[in-house]
Amino acid sequence: MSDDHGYHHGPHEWSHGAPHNSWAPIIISIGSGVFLFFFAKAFTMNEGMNGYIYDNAPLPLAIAGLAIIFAGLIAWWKQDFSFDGSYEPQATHGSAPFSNVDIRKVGMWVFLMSEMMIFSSLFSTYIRYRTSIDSCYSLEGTVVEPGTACWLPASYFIAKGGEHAHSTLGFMPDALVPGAINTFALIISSYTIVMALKTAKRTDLEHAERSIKVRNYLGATFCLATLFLVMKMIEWFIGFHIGPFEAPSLVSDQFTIHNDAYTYNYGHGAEAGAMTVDIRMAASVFYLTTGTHGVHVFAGIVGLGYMVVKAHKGGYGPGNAASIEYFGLYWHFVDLAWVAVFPAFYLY
Amino acid sequence: MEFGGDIFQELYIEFMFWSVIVGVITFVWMIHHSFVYRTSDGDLSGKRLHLRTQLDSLRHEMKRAGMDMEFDIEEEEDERAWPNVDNIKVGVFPKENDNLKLELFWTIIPFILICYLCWISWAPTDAIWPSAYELEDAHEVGVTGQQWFWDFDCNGLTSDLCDVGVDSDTGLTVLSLKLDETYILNLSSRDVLHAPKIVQYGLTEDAVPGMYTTIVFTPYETGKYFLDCAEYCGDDHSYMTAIIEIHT
Amino acid sequence: MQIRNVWTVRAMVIVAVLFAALMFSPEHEARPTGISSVDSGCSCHSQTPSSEVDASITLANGSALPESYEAGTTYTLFISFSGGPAEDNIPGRLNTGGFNLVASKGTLTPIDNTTQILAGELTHTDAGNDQQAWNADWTAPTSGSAVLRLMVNSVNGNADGQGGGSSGDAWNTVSYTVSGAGGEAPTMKADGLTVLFSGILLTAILFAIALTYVFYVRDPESFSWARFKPWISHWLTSTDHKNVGTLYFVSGLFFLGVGGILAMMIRIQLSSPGNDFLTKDEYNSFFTLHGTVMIFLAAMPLINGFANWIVPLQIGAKDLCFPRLNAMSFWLQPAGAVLLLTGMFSGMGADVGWTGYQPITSTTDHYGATFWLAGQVLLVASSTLTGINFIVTIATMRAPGMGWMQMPLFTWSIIVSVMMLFISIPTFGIGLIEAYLDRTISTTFYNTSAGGDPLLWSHLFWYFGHPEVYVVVVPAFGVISEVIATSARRTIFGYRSMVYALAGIGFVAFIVYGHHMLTSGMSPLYRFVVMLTTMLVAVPTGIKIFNWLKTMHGGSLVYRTHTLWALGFLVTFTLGGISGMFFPAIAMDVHLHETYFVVAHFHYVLVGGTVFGLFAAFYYWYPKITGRMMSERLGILHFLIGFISYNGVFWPMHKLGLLGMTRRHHTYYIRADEYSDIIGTLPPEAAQWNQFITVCAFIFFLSNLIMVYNIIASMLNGRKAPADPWGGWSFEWLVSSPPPTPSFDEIPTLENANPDHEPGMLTGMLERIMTPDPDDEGEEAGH
Repeated sequence: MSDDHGYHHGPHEWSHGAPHNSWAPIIISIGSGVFLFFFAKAFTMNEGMNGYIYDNAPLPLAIAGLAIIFAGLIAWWKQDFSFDGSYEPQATHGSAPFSNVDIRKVGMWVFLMSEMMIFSSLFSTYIRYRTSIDSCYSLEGTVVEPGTACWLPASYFIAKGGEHAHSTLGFMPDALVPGAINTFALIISSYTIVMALKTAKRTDLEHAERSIKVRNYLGATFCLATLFLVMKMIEWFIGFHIGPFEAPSLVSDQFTIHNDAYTYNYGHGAEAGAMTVDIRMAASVFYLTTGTHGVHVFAGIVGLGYMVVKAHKGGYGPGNAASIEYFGLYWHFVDLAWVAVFPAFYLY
Repeated sequence: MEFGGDIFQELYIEFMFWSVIVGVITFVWMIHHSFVYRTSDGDLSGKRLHLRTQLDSLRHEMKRAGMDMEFDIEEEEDERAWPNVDNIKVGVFPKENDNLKLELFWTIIPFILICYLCWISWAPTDAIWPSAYELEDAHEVGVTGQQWFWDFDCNGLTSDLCDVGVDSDTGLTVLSLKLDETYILNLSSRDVLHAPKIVQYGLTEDAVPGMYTTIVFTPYETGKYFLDCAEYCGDDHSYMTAIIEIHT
Repeated sequence: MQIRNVWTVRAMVIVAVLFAALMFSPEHEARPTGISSVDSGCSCHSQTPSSEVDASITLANGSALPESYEAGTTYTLFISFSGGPAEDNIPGRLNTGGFNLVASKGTLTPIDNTTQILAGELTHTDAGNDQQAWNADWTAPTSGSAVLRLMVNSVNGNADGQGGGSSGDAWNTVSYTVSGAGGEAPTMKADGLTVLFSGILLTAILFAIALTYVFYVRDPESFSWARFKPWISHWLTSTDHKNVGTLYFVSGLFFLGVGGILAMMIRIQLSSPGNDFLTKDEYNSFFTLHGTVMIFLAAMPLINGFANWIVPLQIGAKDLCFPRLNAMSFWLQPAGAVLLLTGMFSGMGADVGWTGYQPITSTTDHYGATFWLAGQVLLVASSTLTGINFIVTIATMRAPGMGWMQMPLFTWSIIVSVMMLFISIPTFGIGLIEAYLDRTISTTFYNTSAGGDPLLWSHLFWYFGHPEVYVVVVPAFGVISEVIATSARRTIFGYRSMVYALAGIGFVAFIVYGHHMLTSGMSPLYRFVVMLTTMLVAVPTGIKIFNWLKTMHGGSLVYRTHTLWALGFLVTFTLGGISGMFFPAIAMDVHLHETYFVVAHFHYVLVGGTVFGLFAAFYYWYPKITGRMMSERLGILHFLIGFISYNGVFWPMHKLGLLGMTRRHHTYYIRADEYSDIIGTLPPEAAQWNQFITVCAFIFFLSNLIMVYNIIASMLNGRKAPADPWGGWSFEWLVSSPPPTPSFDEIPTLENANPDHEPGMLTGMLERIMTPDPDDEGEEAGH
C-alpha cells in the first residue's frame, strides 16, 4: 500500500501512503484509564488512627499512567514527524461552504467550540456560587458563627494583597506581580507564535536560516508558556521574596480548599474585628478554573516541545506551515480564556 | 379518591382522550398503509437478489479479465410486480416526494393541540402551587428528611391540627392532620436529597439540603395515607416511609 | 502491521504488568458515612465488619436460640454484643452501643423503652443507645424458616477530633436461622453478586469463543500464534473506519448483554414484594450500572458503530478525516468501562443512579462512585472527539454533487446527533470533574455545609442529559427514514422538512432540560416556560412520524425483518412520545414523578426507539458490512417474540406508575396485612403484574440471543450478498459487500433526479466569506 511519489509518508491521507494502523490510540486510552484509576485510589481518604488520612502509595502508579499517555503521544508524533506538507487535506469540491478549506483547520475550530463549552461551564459554576454566597466583606461587623461559609475571593489575596498588602510598585500589590507577568507572557507568546508562522512562510530566506528562526520563535513561545506555569506555581505554592518584592503563596496565606476555619481580619483601629469563616468554596472554584486553564497551557507546552524539535530538524517551511497555524489557533484560544479568567478571578 | 388526587384525574382524563385520538389516527394510518401498499410479489426482491448477486460476480469477473462493460437487470418485467414509482437508482438522489400543504397541515394541527393542552394545564399548576395571598390561613408544618426517616415538626400547632405519633400496626411515624385545612409543608433535608411523596394525593417535591421547598396540601378525604421517599437517597431509600393520617 | 521494534514490546509488557498490579491491588477502604448528624456518631454498615466485636442473640433465660420454633410462641430474646471500643467505657462518652435486628418471619415486639420498631425493624431508642444488651420479644410465625439478622455497633462515643464521630467505631453482624415446626431446612439463597458475576463471565466467555470460532473457520489451517499475532495487533491498532465500526459493534453488543443481565437481576428482585434476592446495596448499584452501561457502553457505541461504518460510505469518503482520533474515541470506551464497573463485584459499585444526584454522589461510602465518575470523564473525552471527527468529516469530505440537501437522512441524523453531543457533553464533564474532586481532594462544589448547591449538579447534568437522550434517538430516526423509504421503494416524503425537524429537535433539546427538575423548587415562571417548550418538541417529532407514514403511501412495501422493526419502532416510539406528553403538564408530573410511569416512558422511547432502530439497522446493513445475508426466518422469529415480550415488559409499567409504584425502590408495599388500611400502597394485583413483567423480561432478553446467533451463523453460512440487496439509492449500495479498503477507488459523483436547483442563499453567503482567496500570500505554496 505504500504509494510513494517521492513524498514522505504522512498520517493524513491513505492515497499518499499514510498507514492504516497506529498504536497511539490504544496506548493513550490505557494511560488515561490508569492515571484516573490510581489518582482516585491515592486521594480517597482512609480512616487511620488519628482521623482521616490519604494513603498516597498509589501516586507513582498515577504518574506511570501519565507516562503511558506520553508514550502514546510519542508513538503518534513518530508517525507525523516525517510529514512535510506536500499535501494538506482539503475539503472536497462538493463541500460547500467549506470547499477548499483545510480540513485540519475546520477540525481545530470545531474543537475550540467544545473548549468554549468547558470554560462556559466553569464560569457557570463560578457565577452560580459567587452570586449566592455572601461575600465575607459584607459580613464584616456582624456576629458570625465560626465556620460560616462566605466568599473570600482570590482577589482579596492577590489584587488586594490580603493581610499583607506589600506593595513595592505602589500602584499594585506584589501579590499581583506573578499574575501580571503571566498575562503579558501569554499575550507575547501569542505574538511569537504568529511570528513563527509568518517566518515559516517566508520564501526569501534559506531553509536552514528560516528553520533556526522558526525554532527560535517556537522556543520563545515554549519558554513564555513555561514561565506562565512557573509563575503560577510560585503564586500558588511557593511565594517569593526577590529584592523588595515579596508576597506569600496562596497556600501559605491559608487560601486552600480545605480551610473551613480561616481567620478573616478586617477594619482598622476601633472598627477592627476578626471572624472565623469557611472559605472552601471560593478556593475550590478558583483552583479548579485556573487549574483547568493551566492544564490547557501545559498541553500547549507539550505540543510546543514537539514543534520545537521538528523546527530544529527543518520540518517547517512555506510548504509546511499549516500545523503552526492550527496550533496558533489553539494558543490564541488559551490566551483568550486567560483574558477572561484573569479579571474574573484575580481582580474582581 | 382515584390515584393521584382530583386535580390529576381531571387532567389525566383529558390528556388520555387526546392521546387515544392521536394514537388511533397514527395506528390506523399505519396499519392501513402496511396492508394496502404491500408489494404483490413478496419474494420478488429475493429473486432480484439472486439475479443481482450473479450480476455482481459477473461484473467482477469481467473487470478482472480486463473487459469493461456496463449492464444491469431488465427492469420491465419487475416493474409490474415491484413498482419503482420514484425511479430509485443507486447513486442518484431521488425525485422529490413532497406536499407542502399536507405538511403544513400536520404541523399546524398538532401545534394547536399542544397549545390547547398547555392552556388547560396552566390552571391546575396554579392550584398545586397557590400564590401567597391564597395561603393566608395556611398552617406551616416542617418536614425534614434524613437518611433514612422523616421528621415532622408541628411548629406549636394544636394537636387537633397537627400531631406526630407512631402507628401501632406498622410501626411507622404518623403525621395527623385535619380535614379541609390548608397546610404548607416546609421541606428540607439534613443530608442528601429526599422527596416526600403523599402517594394517593399525588403530591411531591424535592427536599434539598440547604434550602426550603414547599408542598401545599389541603386534604379533602379522611384516611391513612402512605408517604414514601421519591428521590434516591441511599441504602434504605425504599424503607423511608411514613403515614399521613387525615381526621375530621 | 508488524510490531516494529523492541520498545513497543517493552511498552506492552509494562502495560501488562500494570494491569496485573491493578487486578491484585488491595481492596479500598471507604470513607465512612452513617448517621453523622447525631453528636457522637455511629458507623452503620459502612467499612468492613470488625472481628473484635462479637454479636449474639440468645434467649433471655440464657439458653441458645432453639433450632426450631413452636408456632405462635413468644420468645424473649437477649440481644447483646461484646468487644469493640464501647467496652472502653470512657466516662462522658455517649451512644456507645446500638443494634438493628430484622426477623424475616414472625413479629418483633419491644418490651421496654430501650428498643423500638422503626420501619419494620427492631432497633434501639435514644434511651437504649448506651448499652450493650437489650431484651425484646419475638413471636414465632406459623410456618417457614425464620432468619434473624442482627447488626451491632460498638461505638467509642468520640464526638471530637477530625473525621467526626464515626472514627474508631466497629460493627459486626450475625445471622440465626430458626426453622419451622416441620423442621424444614432453610432454603438456599442466591447471592445477587455471584449471579451477576457468573452471568457476565459466561457472556464474555461465549463471546470469546464465538470470535475465536469465526477466526478459526475462516482459515483453519493457519490457526497458529504466528498468524494470530499480526491479526490481533491489526485489530488493536487499526484506524480504518470499517474496523473501528466493527470494534464498536463487538463492544456495544457485549455491554448490551451486561446491561441486560443487570436488568434481569433487578427484575428478579422486583418479581415479588418484600423480596431479598438482592441486598439494598446491590440493588442500588445494579440499577445505577444498568442505566450507565446501557446508555454509555451499549447504545452510544452501537450508534457509533453504524456511524463509523455507514457515514463515510454514504458521503463517498474514503475514511473519516481524523482516523487515529477515531480509533482513540473507541479505545477510550473500554478504558472507561473498566473504571465504571470498578467495585461492582465487591459490593462497592456506584450506587447513585445513572443521574448521580448530589450530595449523595459526593458522600456515598461506596468507593465505586469515584471510579464511576472517572470512567465517565473518559467517555466524555471519547464523545467529544467523536463529535469533532464526524462534524468535520460530514462538513468537508462529501462527494461532488452532494450538497447539504442531498445527503442521505442517516448522515443528517448523525451530524445533528453528534452536534448535540459534543456541545452538551463537556458541561457534563465539568460536573463530573467537580464531583470527582469532591470525592478525592475534598473540594466543596456539592458540599452543602460549605455553601455547595446540589442543584448545580442537576443543572450541569441535565443540560447534557436531555440532549443526550435525543443524541441516542435521533440516529434511530435516521435509520428508520432509510429503512422505510427503501422498503416501500419510495423517496422519503418531505425530505426538507425531515431535515428541518431534525435541526429543530437538535435546538429545542437544549432548552427543555428543566423538565427533569420540575419538582426541585422551580419558580412558577420557569415551570410554565419548561412546560410549553417541552410540549412543543412533539411538533417536529410528530412531523417526522407523519412523514414516515406518508412515505409508505403509494409505495410497494417489501416485508423484511428490518421493515418489521421499523414498523415496530413506529408503534412503540409513538406510544413513548404520547406517554411523554403527560409529564410537562406539571399538575400531572407531581403524581408521576419518580414512578414507574417514567420508567415506562423512557424505556418506550429508548428501547422502543433507539434499540429497535438499531435492530432495524443491523438487519438492514448487515449484508453490506459482512457480505452475507441474514436468515429472514430467524429475523422474523426475533421480531415476533421480541416485540411482543417487550410490550409485555413495559406496557404494564404505565399502570403500576399510575398506581404510585415508586422507582429505584428495592421493594414495594402491597396493601395487605398490617398495611391493609393505608391508602397509597399498591393493590395486590401489582404483585402479579410485577411477576408478569419479570417473566416477559426474561423472554425479551433471551429473544435477543436469536439475533446474536443469527449474526454469527450468517457470517459463516449466509448467502452471499450483492452490492444492493434492498434497492437503496445512497452510495453505500454502490460498493461491493463487504466494501474493499479503500471503499472507493474513485470518488463517485452524486447525480440528482430533480431538476437543477440553485444553491441555498445561506450556503452561497458562507462560501463567499470562507473560501480562501487564491491570491492570499502563502496559501498557494505547496497546494
